[in-house]
Amino acid sequence: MKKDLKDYLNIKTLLLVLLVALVIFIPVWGNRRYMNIAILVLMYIGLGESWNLLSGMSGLFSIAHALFFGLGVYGMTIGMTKLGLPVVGGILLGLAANVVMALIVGFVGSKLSGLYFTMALIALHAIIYTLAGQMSFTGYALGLSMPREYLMSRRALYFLVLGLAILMMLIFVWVRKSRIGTNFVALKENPDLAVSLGSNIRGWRILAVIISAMMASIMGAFYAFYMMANTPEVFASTISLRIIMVCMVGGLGNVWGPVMGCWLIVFDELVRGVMPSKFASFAVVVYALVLIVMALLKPKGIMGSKIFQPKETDARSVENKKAAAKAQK
Amino acid sequence: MFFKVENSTIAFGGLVANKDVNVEVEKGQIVGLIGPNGAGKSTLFKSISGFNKIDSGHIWFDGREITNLEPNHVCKAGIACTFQKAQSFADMTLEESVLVGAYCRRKSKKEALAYAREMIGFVGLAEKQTVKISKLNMYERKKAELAAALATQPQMLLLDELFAGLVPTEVGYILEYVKKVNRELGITLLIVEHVLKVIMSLCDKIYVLEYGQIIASGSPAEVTSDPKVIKAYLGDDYDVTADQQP
Repeated sequence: MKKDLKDYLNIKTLLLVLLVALVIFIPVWGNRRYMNIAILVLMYIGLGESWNLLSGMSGLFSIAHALFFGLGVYGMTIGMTKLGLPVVGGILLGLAANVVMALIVGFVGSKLSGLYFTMALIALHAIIYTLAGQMSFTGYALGLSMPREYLMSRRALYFLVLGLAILMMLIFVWVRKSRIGTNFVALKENPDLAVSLGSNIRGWRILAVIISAMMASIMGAFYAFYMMANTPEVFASTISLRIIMVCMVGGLGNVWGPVMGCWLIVFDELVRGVMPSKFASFAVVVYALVLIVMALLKPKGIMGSKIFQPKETDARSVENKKAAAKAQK
Repeated sequence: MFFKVENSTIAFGGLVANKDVNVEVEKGQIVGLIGPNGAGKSTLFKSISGFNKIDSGHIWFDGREITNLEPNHVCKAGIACTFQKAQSFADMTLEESVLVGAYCRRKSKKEALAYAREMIGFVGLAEKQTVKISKLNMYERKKAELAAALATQPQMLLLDELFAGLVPTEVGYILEYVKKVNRELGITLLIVEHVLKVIMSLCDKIYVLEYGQIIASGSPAEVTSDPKVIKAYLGDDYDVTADQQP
């Protein structure tokens, strides 16, 4: 089937062009504040893809995703400052910590399903959050500072995180198209049917947690360079909440979901910039309101809107239309 | 023996759902399982496919024991099943949902996709390949479920009331597909069914279950003339011999 230029002139292409333009121009005219917002937005897109893979695609609701993100941050900072590892070593340390955590969470999630998976995650998150603020190894509540020589310019950080966000999107798309993704969606949609068709759902569940945790870990390693320090606040629930919001508002199980939902981060950062610091924590109220409104109006997120749905490619209906056109002649 | 259930017993709390059930199936046969509601037919099916863990007894298939294996291992061993209530991956396209089954024995996407398409063609849904399952009607969903089960390349297929909820003409069509599965793909079939017309015209051998026990077995003609079977279906008061008196 040959496509005309007309077929490309739709709202999707327009949005994509706008997006690319925005991505290119931000570092040109953006001041430090806008650059910071842009970096955070891209980071949440990357984290959103990670969450979307676990919760949107595989149906395991991760309520404390900051756990995986935070372990990535701590892996990098501890590796660099305490163990004197190179950058790659820091990334690998974060990944290793996350794989161990993912195996624990995944094992629980595969034995017990649904609510218990969420509860296990909350419990583990609480343990790690507390430990991070209590041990000298992790720098207590103040955290550890990264060596000064690794300080990067905002522009370098921007392009780094842009590359990572795109990488996460590519990973998401690749997983969804492969055998792994088909099994992930199958176990979300109907675990009983999936297992009767020979899909090892226990194994796939664990793999889903591992892949997602590793994605979040890499975004965490980036965050260590962005903040040049760690604090236990990287495990904070507001981070988990933001990740969930970005995906829920944008669209569950869709690669463009986090991109469509990231305006929320922009909005949040701007609001917090304007409001007196006393009220800054009230941003959570805004999240809650947005979530309620979205749940009522668009339960499938922005990507669930009609304009983003793939066209019906039902061969029969196409043939019927052709037949009707012939008959008219 | 190709497939054999030996003294399978399972109880849920105080209720004994299957008691010392013995079933034997030869390769290539179509075997039916009938019985009144609550007789334990679906329980037996779930024990075979691995969703129930039996309390005692053995299940043998193709020379190995498959007792109490996980459902995915039973599927790998070569037994696929369809469910009493039509199950589907509502949000997937037809092609992808059959692909899940095809991945059971094929690791590369290219091979699996080719086989999935072949099976979709086999059940006559080729033109619906890219349609979401949630947009198919009941008849098409039954066929989609059959295609997914076939895509796992089973040696034996368990059909749990495949014909339930269909209008008579559709029953006729599906019947043809089921015969084709047995004849052309050489798959052994074990069928639970309430539509007796289907069972009688299809099966080589029939087992009758009542209160969790096998009360009769044999060819369709033998089973239907067995007084125990008639009693089970029509009640104790019905006297078979009375009809035959002049």
